Parts: sequence; C-alpha cells; structure tokens
Amino acid sequence: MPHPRTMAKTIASAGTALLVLCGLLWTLLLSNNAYSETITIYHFNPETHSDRNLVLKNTFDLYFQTRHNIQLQPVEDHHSFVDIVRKIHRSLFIMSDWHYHQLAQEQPDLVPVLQGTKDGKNTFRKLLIGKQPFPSNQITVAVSGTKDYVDMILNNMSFNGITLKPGSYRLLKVPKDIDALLAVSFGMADAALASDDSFEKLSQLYRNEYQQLDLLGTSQPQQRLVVVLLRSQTEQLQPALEALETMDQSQQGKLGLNLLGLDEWTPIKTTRKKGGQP
Amino acid sequence: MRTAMNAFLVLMIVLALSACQSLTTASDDLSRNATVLVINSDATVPRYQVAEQAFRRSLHPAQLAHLDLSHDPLPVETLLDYLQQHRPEVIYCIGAKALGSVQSVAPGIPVVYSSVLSWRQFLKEPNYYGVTSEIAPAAQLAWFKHFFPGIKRIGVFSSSANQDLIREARISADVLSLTLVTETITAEGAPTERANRLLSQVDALWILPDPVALKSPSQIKKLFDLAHASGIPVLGYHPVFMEFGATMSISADLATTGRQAALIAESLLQQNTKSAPIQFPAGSDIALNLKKVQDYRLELNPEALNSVNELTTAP
Repeated sequence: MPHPRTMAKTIASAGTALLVLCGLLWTLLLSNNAYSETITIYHFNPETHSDRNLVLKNTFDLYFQTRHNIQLQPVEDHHSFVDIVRKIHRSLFIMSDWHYHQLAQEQPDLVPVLQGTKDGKNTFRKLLIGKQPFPSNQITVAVSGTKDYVDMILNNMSFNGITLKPGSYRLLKVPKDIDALLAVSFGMADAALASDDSFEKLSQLYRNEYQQLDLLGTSQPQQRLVVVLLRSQTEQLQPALEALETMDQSQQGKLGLNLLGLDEWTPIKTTRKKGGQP
Repeated sequence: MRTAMNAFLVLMIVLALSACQSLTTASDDLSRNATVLVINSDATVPRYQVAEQAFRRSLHPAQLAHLDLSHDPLPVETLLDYLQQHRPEVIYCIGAKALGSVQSVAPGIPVVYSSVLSWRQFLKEPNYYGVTSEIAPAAQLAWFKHFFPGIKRIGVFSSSANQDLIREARISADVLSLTLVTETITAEGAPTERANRLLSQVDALWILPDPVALKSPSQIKKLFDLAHASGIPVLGYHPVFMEFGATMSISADLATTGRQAALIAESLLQQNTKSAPIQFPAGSDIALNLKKVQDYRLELNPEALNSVNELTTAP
C-alpha cells in the first residue's frame, strides 16, 4: 500500500498530465478548426453590372470544391461590400483597382496581392463611342458600371471635339459593354462608355456599324481587377491565394477567369503592395 | 384617477386618428400630384416586378402613382375611375392587360409600354412609345457570331406571320457575313420533312417568334428533337427554350427595359417627344449550356464568356 502522501502526489501528477493533454488536444482542435474553416472570397465590381452573381458563384465554387475549402461570395451592392471589408478580416476580396484605392485610404492595411490580366496586359481603357448627329438638349450614354464609377471615368477623360458637362447627358445602365455599343448602333442611346476590348470585338463583328461610330473620348489606362487582403492575414489566406493563382491550370478555373474577362491572376510586385505604382 | 386615465386614452386615440388623417391626406396629395401613372398588368409576376422596380428607381418617387390590375376583372372601369380623379402626364403600362385597358379608354395621354408581345399592333397609335419584348434580331445574330465564330449558316423557319422579321434578319445576317437559310412552315403541313431539309443545310437553328412554327409545346419539342438528332444546336430568343434543349438563349434584360421606359417617360415629361415609337431592349440576358456546346463540338469564343448570365450543363 503506497504512502498516502505518495498517492496524493501521483494523483496530482496524473491530473496535471491530464490537464496538459486536454490543453494540447484543445489547441490541436482549435488549430484544425482554423485550417478547416471555409475561406470566403468576396467579390464586388463597380465597373460592371451585378446580375451575374449566381453564375460567378456556381463556377468558382465548382472549381474550389475540387481541392480547397474556399467559396466565392459575390456582393450585390457597394455599401454591403464596404461593410464586409471593414468587418470581416480573414477573407480575400476581389475588386476593381479603382475601388481598392478608395478603400485603402480608410484602411491602409489593405494590400493588393494578385491582379487579373488579359492578353498579358493588366490595364484597359474606357472609350466614349458615339453616333452623330447628337440631340441638341441631352445625350443618352449607355453604360455598364455604377454611377460613381462612370462619373469618375467621364471626369478624367480626354475628349475628342466634344465636352460633356453635368446635365448635358443622362445615363442608361445596361448589363454589358457590348450591350452599350449595340444600343448606340440600334439607336437606343447616343453614346456608349465601353472598354477598348469590347469596341475591338464590335469592330470584328460589325465592320459597317463600327465605321459609323466616332471615338469621342479615351480614359486613362485603368488597372484590371485586383485580389486584396489585410496584410496581417497573408499567411492564413495563403491556401486561397494559391487556389486563385493556379486557376488558369484547370478547365473549371479557366472558365471562372473567363467569366471575369481575365486570362490569369498574376502576383503584384512588392513596390505596389507598399503603395507604389506597378 | 380612472377618469384621468380615460381622458388620456381618448386623447391618445384622437391623436392617433388625426395622425392617420394627415397620412391619408399626404398620400392623396402625393397621388394627385403624380405625373406618371404606372399600370402593372399583374404586380405578382416577377418579370413585371423587375421592370416596374427599375422604372421606379429611375424617377422621383413623388412623380409616381401605381395601379395593379392583377385579379381585377374590370380593369377598364378601374382605370376610368382613376382618370376621373387624376390627370397624369404620362402612363407607363407593363404587360398586355395594362396596355389593352389604356387603349380602350383612350385617355389622350402619352403612353409608354413594355413586356407586350403584340407590340406591333400598337405601332400606329399616336403618342405610344414602347420597348419590344425581344432583343433586335441584328443584335441576336451579332451575339451568336461573337460566341460561336464557326457558325456561318443559320436556319430559321419562315411563315406568313414572320415575313417582316425574316426580311430584317436577312439584311442583318448579310452585314455580319452570315447566311440565313429559311424553310417555310404552314399551319397545316407536317413540319418534319421541311425541318429535316433545313437542318441538313445549316450549322445552327435559330428560333424566332412565330405562332406557326411554335404553335404548341409538343411542336416545339418535336423541332428540338429533330435538331438534336441531326446534331444541330438551337439558339433561342427566350430562356424558356433552354428547357427544351437550346444551346444558347438571348433575351431582354428586364431591368434595362424598365430603365429605357423611364428615360422615354422623362423625355415626354420634359416635352421632348422625339423618342422613337418603338425601341429594342438595350440590355441582354444570355444563357449558355456548356454541355450542348461540347456535345455539338462548337467552337466557343472564351472572350464571350464574360457576357454570360446563366451557365448550365443540363443534358
């Protein structure tokens, strides 16, 4: 029969060991949870219409489900998206570069890590295309982006022989840039704000129509979509970043990229991450 | 104490009633001052709701009054009652029931309309301005060519009901360097032989609005089955054709249609009546079946995919 003091010591040691074991198990469980927790990638793009959210979600989630615990969550409106960026930290955000710069003023910890490219280029220009003669009072401009975005583009545009003063135009919001261009061709609008890619596509489709359209203005080069995160979350979000970066290596991933009008995601150089220009 | 409580309750009731009274008056004033009357054929129908919401968002709320004709067995009487008390400057009709009722009343007020399949019969009405239900045939063809550059010969069924449409489509096809191949279908004749003859000459079959070719769901299914058996993809003008097995459909984006109607109404309110009597929808809604694209070995332009609204893989 062991001495009662020895017995008490043994019980105390066993208790301590049990506690340590429980602690270890708890830590393991927590860390496992951290890794198995779904990473959400939020997407909002003021440069285009938002009624394609379902197709984007389905396609991206099909790609992610093959090997990642990641999901895409497109966001309908600007205010909800800004709220999410402010409050939900352990997430990636796909947004327009223009929008990123707006948000980064308030949240300097936001950094762009990937950028979409198309035909090897990470920029595009918005063009103002019109068909003369214009009505004397107000022209109708077909656009696919949000009003804020359109105003920003028009305010910084170099015009060819026309001026667009506030009140001299009204906007017709359409889902796609090609819709905007076709609206001009078929008389539903006097002018269209569309990307240079879309105008080139129209030139290939409709040579006659293309020849009747005038280039009225050209924007500064606009950066394509960027993937943004909070600097402190870089390590935790690495699996999701890798999943995005390798999208162009599978059919389903390519489909998702094409739906966004991109060919691939490329890493952004360090200088830009720190706030410099690429 | 009890008397005081009763007096307080009476006072509260009087205050509540007077508040209701002032709300009713405000609402009446709002309706009386409304310059645009929106008449919805059936506000419970989602496609009508989308158009109305987009229209409302484009104009100032104080300008708008609303009539919902759903479950209304006497829409003309309802409209007459309204117009005896109010005088809007513009009426926006959503759907055929609303437009038909306004036409019966002939209020002498400019009318804007959308979601009306029989829009052609209103073309000659003075002061009527509409947005059609289908995307312009030329725009549909442009989208087909954009998505499937390998498709060169497109087949359509022609009947006495769609001759104008075919003529217009043929001109557009020429401009796009496409060949439109037509085959006449009559109400009486069996379509199988003619359909097979058409399908043997084309790369794709394009479904156009046509009460003869599309006279019943069973006939539509038969045409789709024949096309499938011949390995020919079908391209439609409405998403309902995706359920029959179409490879792609291009239809009007209803919110854009509502916004177009709002711009027309705005022009009319500004006494700028230079709007065309009819406009095609400026926004498109594109559904694509990737399984069919693969089955028919179509060359799909990946750059077109950023225009797709709905992607399916149904067999």
